[in-house]
Amino acid sequence: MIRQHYTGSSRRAVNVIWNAAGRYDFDPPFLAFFPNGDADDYFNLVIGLAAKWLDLDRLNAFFEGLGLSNTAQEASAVLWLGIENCVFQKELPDRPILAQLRKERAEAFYVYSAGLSRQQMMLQSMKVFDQEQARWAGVLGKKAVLSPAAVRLSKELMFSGDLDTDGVIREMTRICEERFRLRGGHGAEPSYRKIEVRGFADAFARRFMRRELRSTDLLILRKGSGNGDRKGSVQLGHRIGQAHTSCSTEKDQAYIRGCFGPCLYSDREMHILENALCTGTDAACRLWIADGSGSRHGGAAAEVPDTDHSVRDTGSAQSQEKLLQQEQENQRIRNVRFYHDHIFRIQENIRDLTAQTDTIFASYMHDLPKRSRRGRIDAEKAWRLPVLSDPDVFWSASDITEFSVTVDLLLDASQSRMNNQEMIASQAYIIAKSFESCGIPVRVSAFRSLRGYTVLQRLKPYKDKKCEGIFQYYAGGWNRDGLCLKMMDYLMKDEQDTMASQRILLVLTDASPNDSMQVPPDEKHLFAREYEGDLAVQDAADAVRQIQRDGIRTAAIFFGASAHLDNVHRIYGQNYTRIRSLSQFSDAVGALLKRALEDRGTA
Amino acid sequence: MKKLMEFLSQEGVSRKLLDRVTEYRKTYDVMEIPEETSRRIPQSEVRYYGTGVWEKAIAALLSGENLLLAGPKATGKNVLAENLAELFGRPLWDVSFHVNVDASYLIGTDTYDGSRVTFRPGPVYNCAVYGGFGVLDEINMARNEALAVLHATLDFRHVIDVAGYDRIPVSPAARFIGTMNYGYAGTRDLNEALCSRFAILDMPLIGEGDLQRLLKDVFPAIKPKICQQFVHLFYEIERKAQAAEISERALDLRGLIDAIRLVEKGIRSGDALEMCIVNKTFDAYERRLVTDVINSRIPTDLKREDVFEETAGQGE
Repeated sequence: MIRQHYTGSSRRAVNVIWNAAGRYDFDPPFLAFFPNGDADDYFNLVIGLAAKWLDLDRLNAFFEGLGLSNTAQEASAVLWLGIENCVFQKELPDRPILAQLRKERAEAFYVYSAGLSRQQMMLQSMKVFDQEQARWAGVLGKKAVLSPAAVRLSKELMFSGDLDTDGVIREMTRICEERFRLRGGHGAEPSYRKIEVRGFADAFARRFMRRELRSTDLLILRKGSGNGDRKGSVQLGHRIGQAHTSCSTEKDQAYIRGCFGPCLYSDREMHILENALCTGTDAACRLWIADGSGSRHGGAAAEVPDTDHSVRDTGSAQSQEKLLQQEQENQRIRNVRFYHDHIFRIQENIRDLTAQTDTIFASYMHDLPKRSRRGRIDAEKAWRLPVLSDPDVFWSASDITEFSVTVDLLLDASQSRMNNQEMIASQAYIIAKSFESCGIPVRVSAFRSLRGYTVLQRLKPYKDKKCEGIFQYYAGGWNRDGLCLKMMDYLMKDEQDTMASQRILLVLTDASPNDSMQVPPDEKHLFAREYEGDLAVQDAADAVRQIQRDGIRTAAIFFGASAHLDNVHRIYGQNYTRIRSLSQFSDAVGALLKRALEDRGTA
Repeated sequence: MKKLMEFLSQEGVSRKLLDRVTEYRKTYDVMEIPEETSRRIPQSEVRYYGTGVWEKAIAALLSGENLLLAGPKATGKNVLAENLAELFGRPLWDVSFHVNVDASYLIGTDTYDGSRVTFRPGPVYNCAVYGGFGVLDEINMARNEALAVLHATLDFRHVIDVAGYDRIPVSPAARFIGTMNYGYAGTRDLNEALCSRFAILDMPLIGEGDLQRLLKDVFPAIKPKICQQFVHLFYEIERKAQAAEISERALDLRGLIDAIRLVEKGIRSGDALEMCIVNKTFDAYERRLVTDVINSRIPTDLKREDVFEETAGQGE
């Protein structure tokens, strides 16, 4: 069943409704809010009780049938007072507190009315205001000064608790016809309208009992500039016979520096790295490692490679860099907004994954034995007991554990992820935050290839406990997975002496490696070949096997099109999990982590 | 024991089963157990309500089975385990499981008594020797490999092989009752080998009528109308947790009873419920949702006299 996802005060309001209705299997067609935007708890309770005692779908059909005119809005607001009285009487014996809540709502009405300015009062729908006043004055035992017609209507709105849905609709139809001259409230359009009431009255009625339209889609899909294939993925294509389009090495490097900022390693270090890695399939490639955590504001933005669908340089290098920075900032804002829109789901995922991670790692922690007066006897030291009266000849478990682990999270930041950027940033945030909560150092990097350079951007270093740098993630460029994985392997091996006993590399990928830099000819191939398809997948798979041989546990979180499932299986073997939505994220990652750690034999 | 037997008779538990419990006790009450061990026989004030579950549990234990009580939070697993030990008149050892549970924690360990190395028995060992009831609490929090040591104890072999010491037979009076909640964070699935050594009882959430009687039992002076509201509140929170709108933290029967107890001591209802239910969850938004549920059921300013009838003594 496809359900709406509510956010903020809407979710709170809908919870009140579900609770009163005693069931959670429906999306309420109405939510009640005060004019200031706060949830109206009492009327949400009433809506829930209407769902409990009456047929809410039929009531909804009735109100929809009234149309959207101001008169219809007035009638809706007034008629809900009738429903309120009906469900109040029905529910009161079972929920005595309802009388007190009703009084509090009445008092809130007077507090609100007292705060209205003269102008606001003039903009009120007096018909609605009078009826509210009549109802709440009655509840508080006050006297309301009303016209005889308003008094009559207020009496008619005291729907009896004995009415069923038919009875309520009958009463509402009669009131609509007699008091509002609205007809056809059973789903048909109103036959004619009365005076149009503009301004505040309309706003008041809408706010008072509005139909809920605010909902947030789980996935925000935006059209990228690439060829969108199924499920929102974007696939870049090679133009036949197209060679790498960079003008010159210097110009390319300047461009890469302009986009991503300076390289974190010295020229000499990069020279060593390139000599070691840029061989064979990747002989024509270069490497770049930059800080992408936002400390240098304005790294690369949604850069698009030179394809049919790319945005070509149109302005000066400087203005283009500015544009890229702006694009990157826009994406960061979208990532953060997505996080806030889904904060409850994301926080829930973080909580779940933290608990799972804690358990999983605890399972693999080995207590360091300590000398003790009880436990497992140490045969070598047993002589000390009778000879020296030293009772500490036992080994027992201590609180100190020797299992240490670090996690590297590698995000595919190629253009094929363009339509899932916010989702990927949030997934990475969930993982990083959960692991950090368990005291496990996490480093997050994003990779892409551009103009022959495979660029690794550090979004979050191990040392930094804050994970907000991950929101700097954006997609754009190609992805030469094989070379990037080789680079990760090299760098992680390089750090091995100072690092933990166990190292895990998690890759968020759509398993479709693809780069504009061709594979140079070799003794078996006379012509250069495109880095795509089988060749690219095999290259990535070889890199993963090498990483695993080097003792780094590698696993993938696959969030992509079904067409690439075969690829992910070829590259990562069994060590991958497929994610379709955030709701399954924590469980899937927990299971994957467990699998990766249990796979000790192969690592 | 007599009280519990009477309670079960009133609850409608099969007479035949209760007679067989009496026979069991006649057989094993004569076993000699040390004075300090006999103090382990529980004398619980809280009763488990649920005739069907009682009958199944008694039947399984009488047949010599070990019992695994599986169910979500607030289903009374530990109350039932304790009540069963009381009914069968056996000393009870409570073993809380956690991820670092190992064989020495369960069976025992070497120690030095001042003159020599001796074996210090663990709870499972004691259960086996004295024919006790061992409650293996949250059994699925432990690693499966750590539990392998229990296999021979729990299956037809009924022995404990203490490495370096003896192989001791498990007393025929001994039973093991595992409890597990598969919803808790940090739990894992039990492996097949261990599962096959238990009769598994799926614990249902306490029924509405039973909960009302439980509250009435614990608070005899509670006003029926307000008692009904507390019962409704419990189920409303349960439904919200079931719908995954909140976590199970706030679904706490112990917390509800504690809250009513605080009201009895003079704390206002709003504060009591906040302390014992709302604050069980640490997420501000979740607290707000739980508070909304409470506010739509229980007035915040109820005092002791609003919740409890005046007792005869007070009335006079």
